[in-house]
Amino acid sequence: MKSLIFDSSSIITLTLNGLIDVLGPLQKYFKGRFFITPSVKHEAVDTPLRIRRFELEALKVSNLIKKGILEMVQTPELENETRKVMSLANNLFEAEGSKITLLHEGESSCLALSKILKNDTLMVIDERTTRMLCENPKNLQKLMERKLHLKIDRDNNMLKELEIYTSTPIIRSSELILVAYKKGLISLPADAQTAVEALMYATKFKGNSISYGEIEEAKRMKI
Amino acid sequence: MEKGANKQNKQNQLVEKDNLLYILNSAIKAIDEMDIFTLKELSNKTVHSASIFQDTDSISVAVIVYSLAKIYERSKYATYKDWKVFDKIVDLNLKNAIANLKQNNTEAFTKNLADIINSINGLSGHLRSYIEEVFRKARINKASRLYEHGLSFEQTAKLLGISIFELAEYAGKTGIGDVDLGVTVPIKERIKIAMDFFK
Repeated sequence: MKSLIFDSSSIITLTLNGLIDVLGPLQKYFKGRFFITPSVKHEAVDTPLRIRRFELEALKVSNLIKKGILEMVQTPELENETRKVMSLANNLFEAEGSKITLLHEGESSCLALSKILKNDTLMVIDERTTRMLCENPKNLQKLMERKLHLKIDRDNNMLKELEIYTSTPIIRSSELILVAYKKGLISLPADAQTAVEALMYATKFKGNSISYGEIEEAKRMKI
Repeated sequence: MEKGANKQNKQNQLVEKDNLLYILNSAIKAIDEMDIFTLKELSNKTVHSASIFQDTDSISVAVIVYSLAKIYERSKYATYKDWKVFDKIVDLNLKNAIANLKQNNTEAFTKNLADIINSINGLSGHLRSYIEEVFRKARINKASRLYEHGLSFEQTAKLLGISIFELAEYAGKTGIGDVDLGVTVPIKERIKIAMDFFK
């Protein structure tokens, strides 16, 4: 069975845009399973429940969990694997004699879960660091060197060990919402190009790390 | 190996101490001269070490100096009745923080920084809510800078004590998503992955 793993950043983008409810119809269409981890629930539900401004968003996500649309995985194996990911990712880069702590538990748990679920799995990640770590860690190293104006050392043994956790393909909320639109699950009073533009920019402005260039390119595609 | 790492650590601490002393001394001078531009610039000088060492003191200094720039640029705040109290607390704790850091009294130094942030509790009315909001926004701003430097959403949110919702809203309005190195897979390919998966 196919699986989709959501990190907190993608859930937050969808929620802040009022698009989270599309996950229900999308899951029915998809006939697969949507997973989150306890740390993701903590960030997307438990923490915002204590902040008035985000309380409604938290309740909406909580509702999806209650309905079983988002399934929470909680196993000792996941905890072990999460610890391994954190240890590898947070010892991968070094600057001025200090290891740089890149990831926290939520992001690490998604990578850990992708290793456990293995085949027929995609991750939905909007934040840039985890995506870059998975898809092009050398670019992440270059970006940090550029921003910090110093040399960053990379431990290639750590990188090699990390590969089993970072090989699952990644999409973002922007691509997911495009699928939902294409399948007729989102209805907007506009032509396809305008709708694609509106949906993708909406995700960008709520934290999805997608560039203007990428959105313009997507608009030119025949969706 | 361990000896080398310890030596490097001590060196880093010394460099960081000098950097913090420079920032705090310059902040006092900038406040005296109402040089808001310099105050804002100073707040960015701790992001570097905050990204690497992720020490709470560097992060606190970044948040405090940025907040002070925002607070002192609003001349309206000086008309509120508690303003003098706030101004005095800031001045006293900045000076004490410098003295304590020079003497390597890190516990007292950390407390001085906390006292500046907690000074909000002694204020009342509009000034309290304004300054509270400035400190909150400063934490989000600095979190966004750490994210920009390569730390993950959650890691930065944890370091600054904010929610990812707040960080996502703020980061979405910056150019972080437009950095060329961040485009790691062509969008056509990513859309194809998504479409094929849902076929």
